[in-house]
Amino acid sequence: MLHIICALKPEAQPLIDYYRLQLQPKAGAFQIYHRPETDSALTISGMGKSAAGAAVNATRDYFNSGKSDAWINVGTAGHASLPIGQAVITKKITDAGAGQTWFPSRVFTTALPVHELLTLDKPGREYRTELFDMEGAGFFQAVTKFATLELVQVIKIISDNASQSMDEINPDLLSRLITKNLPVIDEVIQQLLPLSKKQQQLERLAEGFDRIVQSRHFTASQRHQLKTLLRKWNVLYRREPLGQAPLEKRLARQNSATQVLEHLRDELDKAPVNLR
Amino acid sequence: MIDQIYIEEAIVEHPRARAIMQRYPGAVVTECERYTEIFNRKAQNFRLQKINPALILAKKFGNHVLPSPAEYAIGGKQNYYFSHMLNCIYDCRYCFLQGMYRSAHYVIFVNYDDFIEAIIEKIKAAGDDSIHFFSGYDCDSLALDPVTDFVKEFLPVFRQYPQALLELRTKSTQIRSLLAAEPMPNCIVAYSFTPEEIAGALEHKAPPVGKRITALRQLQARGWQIGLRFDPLIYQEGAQSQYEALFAQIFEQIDAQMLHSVSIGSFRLPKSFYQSLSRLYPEEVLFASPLDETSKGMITYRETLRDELWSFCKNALLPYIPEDKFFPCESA
Ligand code: SF4
Repeated sequence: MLHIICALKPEAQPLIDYYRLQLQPKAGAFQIYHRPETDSALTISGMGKSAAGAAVNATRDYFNSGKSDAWINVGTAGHASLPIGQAVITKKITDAGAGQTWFPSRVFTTALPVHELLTLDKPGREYRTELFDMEGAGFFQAVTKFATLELVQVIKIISDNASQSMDEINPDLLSRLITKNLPVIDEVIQQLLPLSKKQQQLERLAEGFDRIVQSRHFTASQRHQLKTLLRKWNVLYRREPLGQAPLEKRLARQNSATQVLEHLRDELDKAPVNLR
Repeated sequence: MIDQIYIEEAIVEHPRARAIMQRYPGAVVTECERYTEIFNRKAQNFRLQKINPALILAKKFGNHVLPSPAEYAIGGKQNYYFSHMLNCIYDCRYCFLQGMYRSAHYVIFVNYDDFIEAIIEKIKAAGDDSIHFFSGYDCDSLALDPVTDFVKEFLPVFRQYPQALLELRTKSTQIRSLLAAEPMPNCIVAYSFTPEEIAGALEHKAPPVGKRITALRQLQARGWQIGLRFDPLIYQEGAQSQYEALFAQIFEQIDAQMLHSVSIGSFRLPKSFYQSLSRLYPEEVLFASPLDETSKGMITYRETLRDELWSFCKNALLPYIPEDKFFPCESA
């Protein structure tokens, strides 16, 4: 699943329209948009790093998201010299207040310029060689507590620089900046999504688990063993089904959890090991 | 192709760091205080990072040379290893580095002088004891040699101290610098092998078995001491005949009498490494094989299977080589 976090509604709106996301009722303190068909969502955090962190946590709780979800913070930032409207991907994020630093891990190639980002506690007017914003560090700190680093990115669009100050920023400009960059934002998202999907598939290898545990009582340790055995079974027998009857039919004949596990171990013992 | 480089602020002017960076003019360079800010941080996924690992240039403080696990010994009284690099450009599915590190990035420690100083110290302290050094524990010794200049920088040290032996363990065919250098009796180039059918399934991105044998042959012809490492021994249907064919293929092309050493070792991983690996690659047949935990907390093949393959390989090897060149690794 993909989660986009934006600080402000004008930044979020072009993405909401582009990905055809729907506002979720009863989503709590934050406005959360979602489209189940594409497994994508967007949360509006409000300004500041605490708000960004809180929005990440609320989104995680709302969707019960796991390690295989992809996360992206899309927003605007200032920079000394980069042109207004330039999209940038970040390589180092520093929380100016706390002095903490994070290094996003990018496993795909990108044509976007790559820069450092400084997250300030208050709006800044001192233009510098790093980008500066107010949310990046809050987002990154919160999300990397539970997500997978390689599935988390921060993209910023330059909204002000030394020759065009932040006084000229208005909601309309913010929306235009994001709209102009929708193709490049989408390009990054399309690189992250397959990685996230692949991770999701790997988590699903213990096929049949839910149905099997529904019909008998398994202790926590037996559930763990069952998951491991089912995963191994699915791996070893993926090309060579054992007999005609599906595994679950054979397991249905076993009365207790212990017997189910024993039966699975027996079948695994007979499994041919072919590495290819 | 490296497109991201992290470098510690303190070594940005280091000549070796600069030379390495010059090889990647298009890479995005990011400075950091310590390499550990990037390497091995929580929440990283080794498998995902392996898609496009970054290069990290760092300085190693302390522990440049460490005692090596006894199982790796090939006759030396004192045995040490050192790692100028962490991680490997190849991607063998059984590699314990995937379980040891959370990061797949390549770390190169550029302060070779400190490693060399520590090596010399150990050699001097060893006195009359035979002393062996192993490189290729945390990386492949030669795979990135054109970038690291490892051979060019470290071999001269061992030329100065002929009583010390250096083993370069590798699967790489990057042997240009070795072929260009004068062979020395106290440096062994040891190649790791599994049969083609197994290598094809598990040793991703590593040179094919045939090319490794060609490299071995060239090195031997040039006068280098060579070693063979069948460690880990990997089981699958038909493994015995596959190993038999591999031994025949190798000994057909090299001079067994001129070999330095041959070692074999069962597939084994510390339990925590095995758990990490099977979480990273849950679809991998290797980790669904019949494995058991030993009393030493290692995961290895079920005893009968392990012993059968081990004895088979030992018996299949011994007709080719003198027994004093055979070093079995029994550590599971
Ligand atoms: S060549 Fe050696 S170090 Fe490299 S991945 Fe394979 S087993 Fe690991």
